[in-house]
Amino acid sequence: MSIDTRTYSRYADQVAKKALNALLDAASAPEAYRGAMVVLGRQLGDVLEREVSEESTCLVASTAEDADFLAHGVLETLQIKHKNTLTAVFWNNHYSIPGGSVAPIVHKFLQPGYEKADSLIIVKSVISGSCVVRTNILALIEKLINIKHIYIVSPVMHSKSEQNLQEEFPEHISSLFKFIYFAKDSTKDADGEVKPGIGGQIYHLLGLSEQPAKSSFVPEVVKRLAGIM
Amino acid sequence: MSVTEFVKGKYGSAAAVYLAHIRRGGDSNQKGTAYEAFYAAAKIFELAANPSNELHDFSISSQDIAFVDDLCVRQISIRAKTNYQAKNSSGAPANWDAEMEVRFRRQLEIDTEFHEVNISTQVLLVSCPIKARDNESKIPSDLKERCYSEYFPYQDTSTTRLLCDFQPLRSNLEALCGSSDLSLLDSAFKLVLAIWGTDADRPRMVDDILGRAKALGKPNIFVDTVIERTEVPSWLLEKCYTFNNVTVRVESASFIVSYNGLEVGLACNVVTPDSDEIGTLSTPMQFLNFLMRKNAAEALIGTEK
Repeated sequence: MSIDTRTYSRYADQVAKKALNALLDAASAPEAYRGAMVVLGRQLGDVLEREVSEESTCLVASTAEDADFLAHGVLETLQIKHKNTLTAVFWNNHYSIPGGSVAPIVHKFLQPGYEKADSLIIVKSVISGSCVVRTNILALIEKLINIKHIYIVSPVMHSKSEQNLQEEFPEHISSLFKFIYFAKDSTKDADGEVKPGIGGQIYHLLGLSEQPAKSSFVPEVVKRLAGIM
Repeated sequence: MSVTEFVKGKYGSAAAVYLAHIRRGGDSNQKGTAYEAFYAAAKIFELAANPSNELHDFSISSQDIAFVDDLCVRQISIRAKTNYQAKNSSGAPANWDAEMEVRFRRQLEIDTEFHEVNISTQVLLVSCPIKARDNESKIPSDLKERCYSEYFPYQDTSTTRLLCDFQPLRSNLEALCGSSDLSLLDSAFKLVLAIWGTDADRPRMVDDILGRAKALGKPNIFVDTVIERTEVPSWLLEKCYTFNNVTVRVESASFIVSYNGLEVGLACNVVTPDSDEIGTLSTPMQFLNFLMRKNAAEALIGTEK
């Protein structure tokens, strides 16, 4: 699938564009793919460092498959000025049902103290139908009593995802959204995958056998923070 | 004799033609269909959250051949039938007017004389609370016992907005899911909508719809009954006790095993593992990995993205 129709945001510098292309080139090379995701995470973290006030307490929430790569990169740069940034990780079982999909949370890691965060940063490798993003926002939103901002952060989004996500939430929540992304693609395949997007299904590209919810995969960041190395 | 033949005989050919016209309008109104589907799901949750209800006693259908035709809820044991006319509008289409009155009066007669129900109730469902109140004041006194106007919000196709906007729906779902977690309630809502949207044109029992929604949930997110709660099995409780900081609780239809912020979900109907297998698990990580694998094998099979 061509990237000719891809549009880039004002945040997409040459490093980000190169890393986006590297994802597409590394479809059968998990190590290279993981590296490109970390680079993209760092670049997105750079943007966040500029956007999020230094006084903010941040909570970076990701799926288990993104935790050690894209979210790890985000944390690396975000934590330069936001040293008290907290982590949440969700194991979603994302599957199709008649008329759409659901992504119930099977397991989760919530770093103790996460409730005090005032900036929620949802990190996702690609946003297509936004089912996973919506589910994970819903899992956290009522527990974050000081919430002021919700940053939805992704290298690639489908062109309609931003509007769809805004429309899914009541105004008192959607008014907190700020979308930070590098590229938008306007094509999806029959399975709902954004094309060219990130090159396919994230689990396989990262070298994972299946969705983490369907295995015993625990990201390194969770092992470290929960003290189960 | 069909309903249409009954209507033709009782009210004349023009009434039968009008009845067919109502049905065609229902078939083509997609916006209305979403509103009706959300209300149908909310009604299923309302019935199921009431512990005194026997769910196999209730059927629900949509777009019956009727003058009040958007939704029909029957309680079989007492021969009760409630029909809903849904108007997701705050304008004139949602008004109780002369035409609506004729339709409601006729439906009461059809329910009693043709369907032979003991209790017939007609409801004008509207998406504006002021309109519902205004309609209530317009319903003639001789119909007030059997007809009313009810408010139910319209939130396009967003389950999330409706859950946030309509507390009765949320309360009922919390009772059915044994949790106040909004992400879980939203998934439960979507599961029932998915089942409702499949083959919605024939009457179905409420317990069948909920049972199919339970089966569609991977993991299941509906508790068995509103009043029953599952106890943690002894093998799980005892193993958790052998590690520092490992705790277990029941939430929704899962056991949640926690360790320093990591929460591993295990379906409540988990198969008791072999004691030798459990005995080999000597660290929290080994134990949690074992539970994750076990849950994936037993509770998540058959789901494809």
